[in-house]
Amino acid sequence: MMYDVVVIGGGPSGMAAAIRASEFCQKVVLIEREPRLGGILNQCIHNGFGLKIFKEELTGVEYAQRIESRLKQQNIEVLLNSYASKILDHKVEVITQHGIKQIKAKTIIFAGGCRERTAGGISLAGKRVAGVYTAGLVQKMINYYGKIPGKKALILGSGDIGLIMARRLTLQGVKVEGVLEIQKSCSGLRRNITQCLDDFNIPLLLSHTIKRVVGKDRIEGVFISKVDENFNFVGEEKFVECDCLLLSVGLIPETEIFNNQVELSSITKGAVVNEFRQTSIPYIFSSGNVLHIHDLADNASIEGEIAGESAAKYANSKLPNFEMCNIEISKDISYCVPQRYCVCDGEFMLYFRAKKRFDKKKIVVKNESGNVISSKFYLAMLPGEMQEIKINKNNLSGNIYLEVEE
Amino acid sequence: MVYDFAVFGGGVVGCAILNKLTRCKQTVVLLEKSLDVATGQSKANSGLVHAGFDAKENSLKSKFNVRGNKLFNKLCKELKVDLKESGAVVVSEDFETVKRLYERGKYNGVNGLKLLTGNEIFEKVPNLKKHFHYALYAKTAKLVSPYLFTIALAEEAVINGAKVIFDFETIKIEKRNGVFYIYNFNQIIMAKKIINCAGYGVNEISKLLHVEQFNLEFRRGEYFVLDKTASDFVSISVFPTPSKFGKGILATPTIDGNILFGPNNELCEYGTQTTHLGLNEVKQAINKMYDNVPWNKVIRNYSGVRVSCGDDFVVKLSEVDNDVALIAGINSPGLSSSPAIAEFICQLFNIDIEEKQMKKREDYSSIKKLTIKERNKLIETNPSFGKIVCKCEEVSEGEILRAINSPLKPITFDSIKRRVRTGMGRCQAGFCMMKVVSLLAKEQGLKLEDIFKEEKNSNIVLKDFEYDV
Ligand SMILES: Cc1cc2nc3c(=O)[nH]c(=O)nc-3n(C[C@H](O)[C@H](O)[C@H](O)COP(=O)(O)OP(=O)(O)OC[C@H]3O[C@@H](n4cnc5c(N)ncnc54)[C@H](O)[C@@H]3O)c2cc1C
Ligand SMILES: Cc1cc2nc3c(=O)[nH]c(=O)nc-3n(C[C@H](O)[C@H](O)[C@H](O)COP(=O)(O)OP(=O)(O)OC[C@H]3O[C@@H](n4cnc5c(N)ncnc54)[C@H](O)[C@@H]3O)c2cc1C
Repeated sequence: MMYDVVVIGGGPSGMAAAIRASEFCQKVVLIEREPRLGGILNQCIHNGFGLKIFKEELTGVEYAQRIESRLKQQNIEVLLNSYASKILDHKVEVITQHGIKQIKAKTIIFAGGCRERTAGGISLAGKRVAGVYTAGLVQKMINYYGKIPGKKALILGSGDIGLIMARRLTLQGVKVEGVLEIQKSCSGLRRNITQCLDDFNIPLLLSHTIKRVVGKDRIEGVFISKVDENFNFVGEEKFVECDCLLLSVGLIPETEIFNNQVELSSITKGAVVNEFRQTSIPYIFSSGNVLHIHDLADNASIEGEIAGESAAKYANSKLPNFEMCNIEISKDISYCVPQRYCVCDGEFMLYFRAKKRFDKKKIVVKNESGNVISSKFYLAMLPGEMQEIKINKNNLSGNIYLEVEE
Repeated sequence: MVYDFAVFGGGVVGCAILNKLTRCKQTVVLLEKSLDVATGQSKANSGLVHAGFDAKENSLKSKFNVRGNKLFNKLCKELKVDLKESGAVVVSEDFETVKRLYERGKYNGVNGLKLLTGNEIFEKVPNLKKHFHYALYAKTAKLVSPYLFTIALAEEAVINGAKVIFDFETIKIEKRNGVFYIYNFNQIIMAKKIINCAGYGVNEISKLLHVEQFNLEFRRGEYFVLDKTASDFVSISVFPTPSKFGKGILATPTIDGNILFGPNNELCEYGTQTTHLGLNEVKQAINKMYDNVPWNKVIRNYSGVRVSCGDDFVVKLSEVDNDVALIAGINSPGLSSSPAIAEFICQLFNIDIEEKQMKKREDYSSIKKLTIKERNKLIETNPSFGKIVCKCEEVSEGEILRAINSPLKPITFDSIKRRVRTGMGRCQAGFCMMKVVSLLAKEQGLKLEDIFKEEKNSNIVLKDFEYDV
């Protein structure tokens, strides 16, 4: 049997993609490795989800359940405990408890999420002892398994998961000594700094990092140091005693399943896509954290909907192969998604992140002749916060440029 | 019971000896301080079975290395451990150095050596910088998983009657009427002969035996491990020219498809931490030799500590007590030499080297080697082989359970990692750690907080203040 759309990954993005696709075509299947749908949200028992899509504040688990109940009303086949191991030519290889199968697909949407950067990934020096974990792993440890990583914690990296976990650990009775950030500014959302650190008097040490981890069997402490702009250690090192260390030092899209078949962006590490979230292989689409890291689950879902609708249309031969042009960015912008657009009438939302903080600045999008085709004023733009700007494509062609107006 | 032999130390040397003696119909017990075999030097090295051209003429190192290299082929087949003869090159800017190594190799009895120049080198090592005009190619250098090899040696011995005791902290050894009484806190082991190959701990045991102790020197070697997606960086082990301090910082594939950069060589106190200085040294050495180094593919760093005692290995009977064999200073190429050291121990004790018919061990390392058809058959009989737990390395629950119930009955997270590669991949157990810990706890009837990472008291999680009292 040939499916119209095969969605890999049952997180907020993949579920939304499957729901939307099923509104446009018959045969949709959703493949999820875990025993339940929801992805990362299953371990997010804090609130702050759904403001955009449901217009109310939900916990991650509630948010996932809402989407899942929508999904159940649609005609979508769901394969749980099923691991998509390979993408082959119009086929997905899936490992299940009923055997290894190949599922035929007119189109494929990959929404497999991301992994956390590890101690090895940042070449953390010192002992490789028990008690050093990525923040998301500790989130699972506490919220899912009811265990704690230690009684005195230090957090390296001010990513959102680290901030959320600073609060979570504190509520669980674990003393949080502080959050260290190598950059000059915090990389998490402003609301998380207020709600997770400030409200609990947890210190945030900017321009600081860990020199080495010490301990015999479990971690016993770390030596920390201040760093200069080039991240070289400066000043005296200081010992901080702790029995667990959480790392919140970045998220990386898990694109290995593409096996270098689709073009990847060296910045986002996800696929290069057009506004339909179509990759360089036209029948393969991608959305959610595997495409680029989203701060909000709502955005991952919205992106899933775009991919779902586009894939279904492609399966129905209603998404032609358009001419494509590049969306280029100035040095003040770290990346944008999509990176390309199709030359055809319509509009789309362009997502991007600023490289550094900008206050009271205008973002402009120009066409090849230098005329402004879209602009938006921002009170404050932080690298940690994804921004969006709408682009009207009517009569547009040629490469376009995104920049911060001087 | 009184064993014929008690072996101290479950590194590759101890396990090779355990295995060989068992094959030679001896009753043997292995006493290991840690909770698994291969937790010392034998887990943290380059994973290379060296060809043998580097060791000094007429040294024990050269003799054991060349002989060991030959023995590896048959042994790995019998033990069902993967071995890949992928070859090695030493690259150099001058001809004299490689020529000298070539001559030394010939003298040591190494086969398959060849001098290469110009393009022949760059065909083998495309990313090498172009000023390396000369190279020595050694066909017989091989890749092996040092810990799986060690584990397999011990497992085969155990299913053929040998005994392995973990968590064995020796506090006293007495000899009465030709029998050694070995005490720890709760038991006494008796044996007629003792082999002391406790690596960094060799002097602790020698002291208890009142025999020779050694002047040991510790030299740390640090490494970077790269993701499998970087595996095309080098397909052969590449050495710079060797120096007084060993073989130099190399780039090599591993048997599992990762890439290693390292090791440096720094005098240290015993301890397996990595350091900024050490890692930087490795980085600079690699950048000096190669273009296009995929540093963004680094997934881990680690270090191993070489235990040296002068320039050569020490493998001898004690001059104080002829019932004791002493093995010290087994640094590189100790992994490569281990089967030959075991053979030599048999000679030292005049043991008949005729081997008994051995029961074969089961290869439970990875079902990825099987065809889809074979895997499906396995899944049909046991669905847990179709449930992926570690996705980076594609390891199923069935494989983890098989490892937990394997002959040495491993109980720690790292011992499962060494057996089936859970957590060895790019997410470093971020996704699967708690699942593996849960399986370990469940199989042993323990709680999650009872599971150790590697050594005793390396608990992975603690009890929650509120919920578990
Ligand atoms: C600690 C934390 C706090 C957060 N806080 C907030 C918040 O307050 N508000 C908010 O709006 N957002 C928040 N987010 C962000 C939001 O959760 C993510 O952006 C969103 O979950 C990403 O969705 P996704 O579907 O792309 O990925 P995921 O949720 O990661 O889902 C991917 C799914 O794909 C499955 N999968 C992957 N590969 C395969 C394969 N090969 N075969 C089968 N299945 C596969 C995985 O098992 C997983 O279920 C938070 C995230 C974290 C981690
Ligand atoms: C950085 C590095 C790279 C290397 N690369 C290579 C290579 O590529 N090829 C190669 O051939 N060789 C290599 N070597 C050398 C090789 O790893 C060693 O020679 C070999 O592992 C030594 O094995 P072992 O059994 O002597 O020691 P270990 O593996 O250290 O075993 C000693 C064991 O004794 C135990 N022990 C200690 N004290 C006691 C006690 N009191 N009672 C009971 N048990 C005790 C320890 O727990 C340990 O398990 C390398 C070494 C290093 C450090």
